[in-house]
Formats: sequence, structure tokens, C-alpha cells
Amino acid sequence: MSSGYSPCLLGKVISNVKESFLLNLITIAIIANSFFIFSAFLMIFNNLNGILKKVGEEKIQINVYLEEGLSEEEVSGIRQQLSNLAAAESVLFISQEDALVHLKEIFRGKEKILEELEVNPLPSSFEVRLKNDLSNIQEMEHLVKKVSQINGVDDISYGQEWVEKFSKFVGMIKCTGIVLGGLLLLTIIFIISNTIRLAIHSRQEEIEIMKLVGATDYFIKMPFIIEGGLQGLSGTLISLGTLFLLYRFFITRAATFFGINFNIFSISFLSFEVTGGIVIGGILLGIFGSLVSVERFLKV
Amino acid sequence: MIRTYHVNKVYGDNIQALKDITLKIERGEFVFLVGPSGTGKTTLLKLLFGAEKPTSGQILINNINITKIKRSQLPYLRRKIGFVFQDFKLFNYKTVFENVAFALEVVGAKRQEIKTKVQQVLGMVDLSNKTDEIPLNLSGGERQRVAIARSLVHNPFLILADEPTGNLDSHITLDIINLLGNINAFGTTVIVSTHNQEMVKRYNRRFIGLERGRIVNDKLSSDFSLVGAAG
Repeated sequence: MSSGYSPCLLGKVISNVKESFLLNLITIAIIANSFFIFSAFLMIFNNLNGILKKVGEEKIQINVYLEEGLSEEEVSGIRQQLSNLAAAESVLFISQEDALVHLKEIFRGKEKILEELEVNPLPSSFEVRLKNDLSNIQEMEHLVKKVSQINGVDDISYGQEWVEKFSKFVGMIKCTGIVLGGLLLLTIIFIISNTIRLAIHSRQEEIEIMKLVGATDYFIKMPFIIEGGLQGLSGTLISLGTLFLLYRFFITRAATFFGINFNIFSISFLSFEVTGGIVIGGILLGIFGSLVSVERFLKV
Repeated sequence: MIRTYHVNKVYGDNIQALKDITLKIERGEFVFLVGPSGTGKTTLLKLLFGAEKPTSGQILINNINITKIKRSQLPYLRRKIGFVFQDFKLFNYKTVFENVAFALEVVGAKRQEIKTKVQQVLGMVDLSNKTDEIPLNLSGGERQRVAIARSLVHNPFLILADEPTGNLDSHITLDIINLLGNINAFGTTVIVSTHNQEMVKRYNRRFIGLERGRIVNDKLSSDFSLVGAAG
């Protein structure tokens, strides 16, 4: 005599999963697909921000040109003031002679142009590298104004146009990323909620029979809620696992094939916190999606 | 046992399914609820089962006012009221044994208790030799007997059958009604809704005739004559 019944809750969940195996598989596949797209977007966005930050680091410097005829003490004083700036990482003095050598390197092959110069027209300067912080770009103008007020400073250059454009570009990327990420998140919430709703709708008759024979709301709801949570967990784990494998493949094999060293840009996977957040988000989405859908049928 | 007082049920804006239903059914009675399709038979059974609430009026079952019952209490009421549908409402992927056992699983019955009870009720409906079959492999009459067996597991005081023989041949119909009659003989109140006048005439039972949501007859079938009934 068959007696394939499972009185305990976990047993009920297991038997539910077995009975609706294909439906569960499809739901998990949709959840996995949705979260894969979202996680990939997050990873690309994070790394893009990192690359921009690194590019920005190399450009975050200002050149402080000095007036002619300053004494060693005055130059030393200016160096001290520049070093004391909170945003300054390093201060490098470039004498007139050093500047001319550098100019000759630029004009290599055309030294005859420089032979016409009777006097070295180049001023001495300080090259001030700023600390690795993109906000320094946004506060550049304020910094430049402060430096220009130091006695002995003749002129300052920092690639104004580049900094403004770069700052706007970074801001635009961030805004776009947030908006797109938000829209993507809403989309996957909508897709997953609907998928779960349709899955539970297809088991409407099962819920009706349970109500008919006197099952309590708790008895009816809990297996579906646990199933939803498991679907969310499975879907997010599959999506993150797939993304990780693709990431490793891309970093190692594809990099070797194309001869690109991605270590230069330190392409990284999602952080532990973000990964954990995605998994928890998936579980909660599965749970609440199921809860809302089952409640609808319990009220009928 | 069952008392209804001026029960009305209106759907939507103005679709009155039941009008001023006042009736009394005593414990142990066997009652046919008769009328053509659309006269409110199913609606009345749903109200007695607590699946819907009346728009107005009161319904008392064993002195419990089910119009005021909380949703959390409904499952416990339904365990004492068996409901049999025209389309059986069985799990097609579970065996006969599992379908009947399910009604005991939901109350957390122990494995041995389930086994004993399921064997007992399957014996009552003469399906002891079909426990491992799935409903798709059974005849219509056998499926209905499984549904009836499931409705018996909690020893209900009331069985409501909504057109239980609607999808069945005439000789199977007699089997099912006879089975319900046997259950009634043990003291369970049985209410069967049907549009089949011929079936009602065969049995010397009380019948309540409905027409356009109103009770138009309430008598023994030996006095059967239903105004405007369609078979």
C-alpha cells in the first residue's frame, strides 16, 4: 500500500518541489537569469568606477609655477606651504634647468628650435600630486584659489578643462548607473514576482483542495513561502556562481588570449557584502512574492 | 442542526442569487436541494460551508453562527463538514490512498492513525482494492467515491454534495446516492443538490425546491412536483 504522505513541514516542502519539479526549475531559472543580469551590471559598474578613479588618480596633480628671482628660502617656504595642504600627497620641485631638459625630450629630433633660445624662458615649478580621492577633482577650483594666494606663485595649471569634463563624466556615469541599476532592480522584482505569482496560480486547485479539507492558512502558506525562499536562494546562488566562473574565465583565459593584463585595472568580483546582500535579497523576494500570491488565493 | 434566517446573497450590483432563504434541517436528515441550473443551489451550499458570506441574514449550524465566524476558525468548521463536488476535486498525481490521507495530514494526524482511518473509509466506499491507483485510472463513479471517502475521514456531522452525479451515468448515479444514503443511515446529515428530477423521485426523501433563488417547495419526494423545473 502506498503511503507517500509527509506530515512535517519540511517533508511537505520536499513533496511540493517533487510534484511541481519542472515549474520550480523554470522559476529558479528566471530568478537566476534576472539576478545574473543585475549582478553583472553591478560588477561592471563597480569596476568602471574603480577604473575611473585610477585614471583620475594619475591626473590629479597641479603645476604651480613660481615667479622669477625667488631665493632658496622663499622657494623652501612655498614648498612647505604646499606640503601642508590637506589634499597634497607629494610635492616635487622642478627647477628651470629640469624644465628645459624635459622640453628637449619633447622636442627630440627638432632640437634646432630650442637652439634659437638665448635665455631659458621656463619658470621653476612645483608638481603637486593630490591624494587618491575623486572628490579632490570636484574641489579643485577651491584648492587652486588657495594656492594662488601663496606669495611667490605666479601661475597654476591643472588641466582645468580636463578636470571639469572628467568630473562631469564621472558624475554622469554615477547618476546613469544609479538610475539604470534602480530600473533594473525594479524590473527583476516585477519579473520574479510575476513568475512566482503565475507558478502559484497554476497550483490554485491544490490550494482550493487544501481549504476544502480544512487546512489552516498556516498549513497552506508555509510550504509555499519556504519554497519561494528556496527558489530565491537557488536562483541567486546559480546567478552568482555563473558570474564568478565567467569572471575567472575572462580574467585568466580571455586575458591570455587577447594579451591584456587586467591586473593593471584590478578587475574585481563583487564584494562579500554585496554578494551576501544579493543572496538575502533573492531569498526575501522569493518569500514575499510567494506570501503575497498565496494570500490572494486564501482570501477567495 | 441547520437554521437559516432570511438569507440573501447578492453578487455585483444587482444579481440576487438567493432571496429570503429561511429553512430548518434537523440532524440526521437526508435532503435534496432541487432546481434547474442557476437557481442558487451551489450558492446556498457555499454559504453553509462558509466559503462565502450572505449579504444579509443568519446561518446557524449546530448553534454556531457561521456568518460571524472568523476566518481563522473556518478550517476547524470545514473539518466537520464534508463537501463533495461534481468535478471531484482530487489530486490527479496522488494515489487514492494519498488523496484520502491528505485530509488527515492537514490536521497533523499520526502515520498509524492515518493508515487506519484511510483503510476504514475506503472500505466504506468499497475501494479497498484501488488504494494504489491514481484518479486518472479510475471511472467517474470511483473518483466520486474517493471524494466521498475523503469527506468522511473527520467523521463529519454534515455532508454537502453539489451535483455529485452530474458527470456520471444513471446507474453510477444510483450507486453514489445509495452510498450517501448509507452514510446518512449512520447519523450524518446529508444535503445533495441536483437538477435531476427523476433521481429525486426514486427516493422518498425530503426535497427543497429552489427557483430563481427562492424556496418554492419543501416536502417529501412522494409529493414531488417542481414548478418550472428543467431536468
